Amino acid sequence: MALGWALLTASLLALPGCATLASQPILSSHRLELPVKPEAAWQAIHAVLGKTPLRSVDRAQGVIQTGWVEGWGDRRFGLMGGSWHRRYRLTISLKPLEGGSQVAVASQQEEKAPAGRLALRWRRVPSDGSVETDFLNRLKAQAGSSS
Amino acid sequence: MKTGSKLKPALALWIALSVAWAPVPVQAATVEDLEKKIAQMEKAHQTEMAELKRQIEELRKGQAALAQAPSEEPPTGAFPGKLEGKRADLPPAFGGIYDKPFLRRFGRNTYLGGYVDLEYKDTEDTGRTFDQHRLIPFIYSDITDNLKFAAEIEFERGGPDNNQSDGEVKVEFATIDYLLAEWANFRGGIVLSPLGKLNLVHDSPLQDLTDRPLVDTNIFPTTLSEAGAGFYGSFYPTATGKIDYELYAVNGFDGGGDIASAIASKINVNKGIRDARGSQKSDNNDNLSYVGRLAFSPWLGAEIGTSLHRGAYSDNGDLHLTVYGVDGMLQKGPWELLGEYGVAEIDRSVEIHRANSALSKTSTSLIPGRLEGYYVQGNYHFMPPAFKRWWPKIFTSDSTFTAVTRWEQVDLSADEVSDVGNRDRLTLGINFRPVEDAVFKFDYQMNSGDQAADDRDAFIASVATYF
Repeated sequence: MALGWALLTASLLALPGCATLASQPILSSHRLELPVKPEAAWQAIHAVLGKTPLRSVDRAQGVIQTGWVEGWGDRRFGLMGGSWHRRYRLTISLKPLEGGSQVAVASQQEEKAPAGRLALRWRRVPSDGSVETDFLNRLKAQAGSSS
Repeated sequence: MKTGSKLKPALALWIALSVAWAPVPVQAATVEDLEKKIAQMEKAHQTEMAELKRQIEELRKGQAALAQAPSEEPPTGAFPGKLEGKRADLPPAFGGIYDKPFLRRFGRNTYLGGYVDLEYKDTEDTGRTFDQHRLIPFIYSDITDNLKFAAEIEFERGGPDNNQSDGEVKVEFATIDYLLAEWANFRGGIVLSPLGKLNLVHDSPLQDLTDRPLVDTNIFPTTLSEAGAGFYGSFYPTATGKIDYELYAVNGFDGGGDIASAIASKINVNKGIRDARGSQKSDNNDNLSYVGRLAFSPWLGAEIGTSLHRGAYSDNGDLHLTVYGVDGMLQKGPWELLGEYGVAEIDRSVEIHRANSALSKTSTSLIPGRLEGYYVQGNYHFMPPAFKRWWPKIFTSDSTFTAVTRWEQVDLSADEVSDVGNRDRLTLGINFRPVEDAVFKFDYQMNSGDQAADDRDAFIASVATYF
């Protein structure tokens, strides 16, 4: 019992720092360089976000975090043929570059089943990158049209 | 000669037409020349065809690249606009009956589903048996945007009216959720107690081995459903981190009375605290119990949690039972590592100590003061590409195999009150999921323990699916 307990303790305590085994953070996986000044890029980001709910805006750090955008995913469930609930939110970071700006965007995505115990809590799932790509495409078009 | 004069214009016309339609004189060609010309035409034709094929291939590649690469064209429509899945569509089989208002409401806001399993067990020195263990329909209803109802009804082994009256029906959970904020939501009803991780996700189709871990049988007595109410919520302390909590007041465990003989029927070194799960109708004492779990996920694919259940278990409320534990999960690519450690600490009266000392150290009626157990499980998900080529209808892109190893120990007499109560188990398993929601499992258990019944190896096969 003591050996097993020690093994379990060691494995659990190693969790937060186990960089070799754990999945990497999903931030900064999607980037775009824009040939506009940071202020113009900041305005373009806001223009693209439109009416998206915002959780936090930090102009000094150049970071915007949106609120949850909820809807229905492609995954189907059970007898009624409904979709799983799906939601995401974006973390957008803006950095100045020489002669331009760099925008990085990452999403946190969660889903829950429409019924059963898996409907009781949101569970995190990996992003397929489509939301980030869509955002950056819109940002590129917006920055191009406003520059 | 009038005839000759009549023929003159016709002759002139014939001559004129003949001149007009006469073939243009061409230079005579030899057979060799013609063959040479045909060869040249064939070569030119082949060159043109090759060029056309190259252009078609380029177009195809371009189309594929366009589908993946960011588009140069500005996307249309407002942002955000990517969650395009649909709410439950009405199944075609139900046809036009949804014209009726109440059925339309049913169709739009209420979901039905469930899961079912079947187990086959061949235990050393015991025998073989099929066990239709669980048939669990569930219902979920969006009453309003903030008010939700969820329930699961468990039919075990055919229900209480099966041929031998050895099944059961019970409500596994039935909760009303009132969503207030991300960090605090109300939940009341028969709640699924957040004691250990597995109790919250114990559905057969979710598990990679058929039998639940020993610690989740005798110390975290899954499925633990209790009548109560409380709050749950989530925090996001970092860009990639998440904290979940659940905290409820519940009726708690029921020790069956105040005296040793009554308590021993509910709490003992043979089954731990499994039989002490409390009533959903009434508390056996005047003290509510509390159960909660706090889980931290530093990033997607890693989680560590801790849970606690504390409250009085005797009828007079003097004796308390505290169950606590930690659990962890780590995922990386096809690899998963998970585990739980649990402890139960049981208050005992002088009368219980006296009763224990009167019993043999091998008695299974001894009331322990401490139970302890854990499991560590490793999973590896894989799908040999050759299988997909060999039988593509069965081994699809949604299919996967999982190899599983689990090592576990429980000590239901951790305070050494008894000479029985130790159980060890090593399970090797492999399962096949044709789709994520269905699984065929094959497990081999190597068991050892202080009692003969705990010392028998077993082969278990099962199938489980959501529907």
